[in-house]
Amino acid sequence: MEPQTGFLSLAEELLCYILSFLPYRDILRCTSICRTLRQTYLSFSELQYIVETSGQQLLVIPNTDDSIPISERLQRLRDEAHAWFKVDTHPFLKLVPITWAPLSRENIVAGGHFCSWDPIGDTAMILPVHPKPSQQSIRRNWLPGTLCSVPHLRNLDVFMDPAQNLIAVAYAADHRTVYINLGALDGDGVHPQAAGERLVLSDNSRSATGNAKLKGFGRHIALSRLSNDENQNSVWQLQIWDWKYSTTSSVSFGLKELKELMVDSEFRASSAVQYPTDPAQLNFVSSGTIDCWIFFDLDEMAAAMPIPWEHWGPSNTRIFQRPSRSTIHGNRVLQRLYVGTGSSQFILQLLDFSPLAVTNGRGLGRVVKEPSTTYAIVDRFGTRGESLTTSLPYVQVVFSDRKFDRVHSQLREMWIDKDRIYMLSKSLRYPRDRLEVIDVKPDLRSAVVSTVDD
Amino acid sequence: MVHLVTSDNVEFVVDKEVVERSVLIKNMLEDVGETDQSIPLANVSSAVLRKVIEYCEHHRGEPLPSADADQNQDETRKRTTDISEWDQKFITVDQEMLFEIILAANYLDIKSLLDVGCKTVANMIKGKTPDEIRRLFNIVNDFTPEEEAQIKKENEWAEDR
Repeated sequence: MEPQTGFLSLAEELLCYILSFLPYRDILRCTSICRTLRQTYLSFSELQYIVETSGQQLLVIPNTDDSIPISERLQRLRDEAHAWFKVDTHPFLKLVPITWAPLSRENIVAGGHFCSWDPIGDTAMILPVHPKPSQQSIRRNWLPGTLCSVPHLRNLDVFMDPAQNLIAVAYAADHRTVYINLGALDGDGVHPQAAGERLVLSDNSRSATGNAKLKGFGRHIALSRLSNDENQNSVWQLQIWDWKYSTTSSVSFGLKELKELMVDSEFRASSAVQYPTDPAQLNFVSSGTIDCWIFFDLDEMAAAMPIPWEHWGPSNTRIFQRPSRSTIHGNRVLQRLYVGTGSSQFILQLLDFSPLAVTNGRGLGRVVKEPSTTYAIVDRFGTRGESLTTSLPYVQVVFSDRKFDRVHSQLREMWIDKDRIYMLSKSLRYPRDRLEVIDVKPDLRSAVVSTVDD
Repeated sequence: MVHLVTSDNVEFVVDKEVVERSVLIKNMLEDVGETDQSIPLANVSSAVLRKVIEYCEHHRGEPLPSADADQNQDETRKRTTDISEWDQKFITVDQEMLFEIILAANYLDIKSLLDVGCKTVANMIKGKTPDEIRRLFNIVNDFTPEEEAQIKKENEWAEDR
């Protein structure tokens, strides 16, 4: 009788193909089963690529023309992750003047574009900021009343993603109902790849407040909002859609319990901002008296809710007291770090929360694994506080090559957009602001200075 | 009609449209042209070919995946191990047959069937501990304790934080 065909009798290519369907944790677990599977993992860049992409929470390097072999993409991925540990904050690629934006404007930089929305005037604009050659460049202005074609009460938040030609507008249809319109940035129609014209909330029964926040990343869009439950307690709700796939949210939950335990009143009241990042993960931050970074695994989240905070929260969260202004992209957080007498200056520091960075930091940053304890106010009147210990490990890298004067730098906002850092400063040449671009890409430090009128 | 002969010498007569889901056979027929001669499939037993033909019969007429479409799906493919209901029922077989079907699909170049087979194995692995997977597939742990400790350390970052 012939020997039975077993798993290990499959050719290495087939083993690799099977493993490539697995999430990265399972792939790694397979490497500890036996020598054959470990060798399979080590032989195929494709598998390492999946693991390291997921481990770093980066966007996948596009490979549309299939001209880049997977081994080279893996190397690029590693180089780019490495580059974040030694950013030279000096050379800028470009100084872009931006028409002075009123403080009420909500600005982001995404996909090489500066996107701005003014909630009061209900105007919006988008303009390219040194887009990459392969990128579509979009320049557009929206007049009041043109952001959303559906008759409605008012717009709550706007999110633009030029890389995907997407503009999402959250609007209140009446005092209770909120929808999210999915449009194309370069036209007036529905986004061609959207699952539908608009995303619907699974629970529109609660009265909507003005605190709706819309964020997107890749295939996910998230909306958070504060609403009142039947006892008039405010509940922080979060819903996440896979917008090309379905108009109903795949993940939806109220963070009442989690929040009661850990978040302060300001967070609850005004400043919950979500940053969905990788398809599998979601982070959010408060800009109140604490900064709170929580990393969810969306895929597991949907299956296992509610999650008891004690079992899960501390090890997936890191809370900082008295935060400086910060920005997040994927697992990376860029923060101001005040130094000097009277904290008159600041430098930039990077906190990399990607688990792979914590393991592979290779001495380039300080690995922080010790738990930290923060005192957070847990009720809305600020009278009841609680000590919270969190322990999510991270790598801290300080970029001390450039000191910013706290007063004179006029730095208003900063963003990370994939492999670039953008800094918006008030310019002396009123009425223009200045947007500075720092390229983090390895070996691409050719400083180009030019000015472009918008 | 196309005549196929398996490794255990059983002849199958199959509709051309059905059998052409196999890129291997499709290319063969294109090279040879119309022929009454039977095609020998030395790597496929009759039990396995019966299953493969059952699969091809069911999916008859569906468009074959083009190379382009495959490219575009690449990004999202990794995470989806969804299998349609019929395919799931079809692939509910013992382990040996499952691996034989994967081998046959690979040899005959039937991409969709290969995916169904590989996704099924991936689903069997998903969420299990190394020990559970060893038991599942009858795999012997051939690492030394030192190697095992080393690998555990290397992979620590990905385990539950």
